[in-house]
Amino acid sequence: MTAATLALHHDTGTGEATAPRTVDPDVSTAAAGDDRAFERLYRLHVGRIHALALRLAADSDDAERLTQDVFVRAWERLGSFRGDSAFGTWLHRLAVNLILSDRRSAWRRTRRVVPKADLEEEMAASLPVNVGDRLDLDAAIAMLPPGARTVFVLHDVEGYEHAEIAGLTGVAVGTSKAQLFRARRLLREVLDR
Amino acid sequence: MNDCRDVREAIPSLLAGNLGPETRAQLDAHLARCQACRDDVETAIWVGERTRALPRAIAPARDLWTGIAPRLGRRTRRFAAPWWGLAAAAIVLMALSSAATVALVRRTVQPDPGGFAQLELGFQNAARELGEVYRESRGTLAPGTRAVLERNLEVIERALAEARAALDADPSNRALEAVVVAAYKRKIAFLERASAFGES
Ligand SMILES: [Zn+2]
Repeated sequence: MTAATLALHHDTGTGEATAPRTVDPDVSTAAAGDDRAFERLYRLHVGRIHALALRLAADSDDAERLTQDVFVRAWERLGSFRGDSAFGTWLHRLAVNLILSDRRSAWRRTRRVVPKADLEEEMAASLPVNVGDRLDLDAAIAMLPPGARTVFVLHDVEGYEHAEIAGLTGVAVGTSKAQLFRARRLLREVLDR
Repeated sequence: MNDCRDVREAIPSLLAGNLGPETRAQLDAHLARCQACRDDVETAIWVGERTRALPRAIAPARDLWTGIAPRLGRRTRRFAAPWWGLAAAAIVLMALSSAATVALVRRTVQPDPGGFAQLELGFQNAARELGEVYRESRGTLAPGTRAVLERNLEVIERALAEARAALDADPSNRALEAVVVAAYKRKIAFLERASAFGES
């Protein structure tokens, strides 16, 4: 590859830093059916989407599968991307929807009846014994009960408002707020002891 | 601010440093007499500091693209064709021609005043440089291979010229800009492959 094409790839790269109203050649080229343009979009955004999937699903195999599903869905839906938000924002929203819908069915399949008061205890008990005095925040997030984890990741990590979270998850705004405080308390309890 | 619920509502503004002096004083007064709210505020600050330090992106442990590419449907197979398939792709695009392609990309394109000229200049420079690389290496190609490559290049260039002429006729059409960009990209990708073919 020549210096000229390298510079070109740099100039035409996309990302959240790019203003949303800029024509993104890779997005329009991918929408026209070019899978190599789409692969460039994948390489640029995969880390963001994988981090989101990892935190919401709390399982690395599920996160990899969901990340792949997100990009396949994005390819199928690229025609409906109108360019009124940045591509990264559109992709992120698509990912949240797909992952939450997948998790809902997973949780329905495996739901156990656990009295709410026991969750704190259960979470504390599920901690690895030899974590030393420092447990990684991501590891602690993975141990949160699903409802509290979803709200915490969407609100505190990803910056969604409670009203948006309510719309995405189907819980009431008040429930979303309560789950957030619960999640923060649980995280501090397991990390700060 | 007598209600614990009001305090909870105020925590995001408190963390962002957006509370007015009067509200802040009311909040402090409540916190002084309410342990539960003090805990909530401390916890929000404590967790918030650690959350901000989380990585925004985490690369997967393995390349997930290999599991994505085969699932991308019909459009993939056309573009994933080897270099000699590019001509077929170009012909398909010409057959669809501007109307269909424009309809396809129109939905994805937003106005970009001034950006296109610079973008096109970059594409032209890259295409010229790659064209020179190819011309240098073409002497090493078998005559049959060279003929096939150059016939394909001609098809791609015709598609580009057609898109460029359409844009000349309708210079404010952003969708046509995207078609031109796509045509340049095909030409550059083709020249890259053709040059590599000459070197090997
Ligand atoms: Zn209170």
